[in-house]
Amino acid sequence: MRLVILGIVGTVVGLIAGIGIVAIGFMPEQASEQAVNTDRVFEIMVIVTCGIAGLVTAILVAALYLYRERRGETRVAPPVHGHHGLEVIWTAIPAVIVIILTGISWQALNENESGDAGLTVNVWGQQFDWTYDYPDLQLENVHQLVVPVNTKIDFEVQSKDVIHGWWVPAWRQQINATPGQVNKLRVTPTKIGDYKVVCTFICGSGHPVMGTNVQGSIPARIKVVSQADYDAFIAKAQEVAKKAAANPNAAAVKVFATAGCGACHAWGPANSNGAIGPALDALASHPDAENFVRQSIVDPGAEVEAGYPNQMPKDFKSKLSPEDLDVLVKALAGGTHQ
Amino acid sequence: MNVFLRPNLARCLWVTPLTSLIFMSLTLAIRHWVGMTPIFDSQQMLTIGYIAGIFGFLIGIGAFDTWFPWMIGGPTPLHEDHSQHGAYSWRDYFRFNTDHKVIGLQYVATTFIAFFVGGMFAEIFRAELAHPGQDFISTQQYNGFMSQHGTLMIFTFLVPIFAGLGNFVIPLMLGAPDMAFPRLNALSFWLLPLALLIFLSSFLVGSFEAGWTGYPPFSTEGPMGETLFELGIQIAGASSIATAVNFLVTIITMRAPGMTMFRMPLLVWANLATSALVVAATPFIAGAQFMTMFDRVIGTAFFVPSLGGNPLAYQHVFWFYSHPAVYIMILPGFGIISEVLSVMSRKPIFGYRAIAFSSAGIAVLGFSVWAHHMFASGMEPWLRVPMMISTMLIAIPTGIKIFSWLGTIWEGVLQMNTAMLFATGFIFTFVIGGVTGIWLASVPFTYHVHDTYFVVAHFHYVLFGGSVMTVFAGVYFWYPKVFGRMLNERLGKLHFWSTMVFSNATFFPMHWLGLEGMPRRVADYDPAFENWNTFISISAFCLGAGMLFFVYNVIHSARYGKIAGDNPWGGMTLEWMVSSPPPIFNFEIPPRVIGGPYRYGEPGAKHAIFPEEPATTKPEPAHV
Repeated sequence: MRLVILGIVGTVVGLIAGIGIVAIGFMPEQASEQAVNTDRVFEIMVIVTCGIAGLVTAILVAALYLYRERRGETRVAPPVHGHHGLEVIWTAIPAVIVIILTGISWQALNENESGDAGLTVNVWGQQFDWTYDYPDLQLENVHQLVVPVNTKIDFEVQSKDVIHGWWVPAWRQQINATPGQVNKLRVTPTKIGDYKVVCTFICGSGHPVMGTNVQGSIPARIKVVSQADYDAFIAKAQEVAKKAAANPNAAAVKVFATAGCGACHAWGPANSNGAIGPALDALASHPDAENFVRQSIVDPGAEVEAGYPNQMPKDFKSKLSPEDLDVLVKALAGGTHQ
Repeated sequence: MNVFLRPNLARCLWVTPLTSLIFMSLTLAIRHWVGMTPIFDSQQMLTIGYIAGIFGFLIGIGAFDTWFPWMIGGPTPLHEDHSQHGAYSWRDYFRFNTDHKVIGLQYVATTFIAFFVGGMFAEIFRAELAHPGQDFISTQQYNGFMSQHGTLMIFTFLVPIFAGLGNFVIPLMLGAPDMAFPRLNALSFWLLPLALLIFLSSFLVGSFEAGWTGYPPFSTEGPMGETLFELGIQIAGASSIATAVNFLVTIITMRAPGMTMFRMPLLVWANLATSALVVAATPFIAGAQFMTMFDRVIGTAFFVPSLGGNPLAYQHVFWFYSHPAVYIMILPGFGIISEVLSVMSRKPIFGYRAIAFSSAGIAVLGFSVWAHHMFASGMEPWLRVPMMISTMLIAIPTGIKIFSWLGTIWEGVLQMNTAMLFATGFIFTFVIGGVTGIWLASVPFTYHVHDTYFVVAHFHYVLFGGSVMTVFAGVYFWYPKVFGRMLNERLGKLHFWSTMVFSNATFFPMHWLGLEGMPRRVADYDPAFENWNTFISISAFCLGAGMLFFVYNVIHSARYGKIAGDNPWGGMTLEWMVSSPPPIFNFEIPPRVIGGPYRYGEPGAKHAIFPEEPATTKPEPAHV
């Protein structure tokens, strides 16, 4: 009887504590439909499991208080080896609870991914930045993601080098960018605003700066805007892209952007302003510019600019096709520079 | 005979580099002969030098001093005269020794060294993380320390420590003179310091940076230390498999007369389940690490996407071991808790069979949940829900254990000593880790917190608040048996309370950081998270400082502690029926088991007797 009352009291205290945790709320801003569904599952799980933890803690603490051996005590414990009824109860009730929790999680997962997407965006992870393509709008290598509010968006996440994790905490959604495959993630943003994007998977020495808000962050904040602002953004971006295509360095700029050089290097023609590695605008003044540039790309450790870390990925030799490499080297070394 | 020729560490000092040099020169010669350029390939040299060195070390320490003569039909005196068995002086602990009690102690000492070194690495990077921005160490150094911390703690502390405790206790509990294969047992121990040295030596060539998980392609592109990570895991894994085979055979074939399966102490049951898991699962991580090593060293492309390899395949193979490994690191701890709680409550364990079979249930179910580590990895989407279901189901056998332990202490006569404090403290912290484990099984929730500090908090609650607490409970419980002296209770309680308070202070706030948006494995973070990170770092330093109570206690009490006597806790299992420390060959007369191991509260009841004693109680019916 004592045990039953204690169990009930413990469970109730646990449930109240759980409700308290939910009421305080430890989640960041809720800015997508998925966040609403996920937070609902989270809150139910918190309350239910806090009830169980309360039950266990109450019995544990009470047993330690009631049954600790006191000085001079000669009590003998009852030789009880078990109780089948109790064992059935504490197998069956947790089974029911976890089945319910599985059910609500499954339902939320289905809701999170239901319906057809109104927009597809390709997300590219690379050391140490994110770039975005809008495949239906012929827009590529966009550094800042801009998406319309209240639209179901399919993000197709890929990587150009190692594994990264693309996470937007305010959306409660993340997925890895794995080289060699396309990973799909559905988000329906519900709030206009700027959001940070975080790399969750260790990807090298720049892993921490591959998230926004960190000192020296490389990625831009993600922007959720109204449909009208979104249309204006797309129109402007397409115009810029058209102008870029007319640039004599267009081919080189494309290689430069695709390989992700701009994350670390500033180069005028590509409008990049990365500062982890040296700026590349004055390379033409090098006495043996073409060979020097080529060597610096295929074997970056051979000659490291004073004051900069020897951090440049060593695999561009295999990542760039010989043609792309030629185009890039010529442009950087000043061959086609106007 | 000269000290450099006898089998010992001094012989290792010259045999190890010699074998390395021979094989490295051979490689150079072959490369020159077949005209490969350049003749010197550092990656290859390193791998061959280390592999040869491993065998050189084992030859030096004397692992093959019996097997080599036996293979060629020569005399094997070491086999007949038992001269490698037992410790007669402290020097015997630094030799190839076949006594399970010596090996147990060697294991525990080595793993605790790994624990403290791994802990120091954590303190170093917590110092860096106390404040946003780069303060003491670079990102690369951070990645190195972080990866070493995880690797040492898992592969050279939590997995082998239970092999160490089990080595000492289990043959005694079974009434056996030793393990079934004593020489194999010694070999599996000596692989362990090798693995530790291999991991640590990677600092010399650029430490591995890809975490303890070593996911390609980051790991296949990483510095040379990554090869040593892969090699070290092979060695630690080989040690683990050999020990597990040894435990399986020992438990099945070496039980004393009357020791039926259901009269075995629950630690033995837990070790049986664990050993089965190790034998079945560990070859998978060995395979995964061989494949990544081959990708690095001999140019295969198992996981190189540009050549048609598949990085996701690594994750499946890796977790097919590494999820069961979580149970390898906790099931023996459950066994320790069952022993400690029953003895210290002076009450039989509640639901013996339920606890025994829930271990088996966890071991079997444990093979069907691996992909819950990969919900956000981009694996086949339909696989998520079945993995969520099986993961949730694991909560049931785990719950059975927790409730059975509560049933055990309820109405007991609780002896509140340090071992008991750690055992009950374990229940509290482990429940928190279990609860967040249930949350993480939920796919939508994991899509938010995957690879964040929330996960870091969760696994530190189950591995530190769970496994490490059981290790301490076990050490405080069996220390009197091992050394014949009691640990100081006052220092023990200080150690318990500092561990309990500061481990919660360190790991609990990590939940909030993860929920709010802090990813794991970062050397720097959003300044908004500064306050909690500073708090965590300070708590971590206090947690580390609290371990000094333990170190001092263990060293000081070995010489100056109170004499323990054979059975200081009033335990019934067989290890308490021999002297402390136990005789070199354990039992002069084999004991005869006449009842269950936890017959507390029954007047005059016994688990076992020595045959010349008259049986004071009639044997218990076999069903209990």
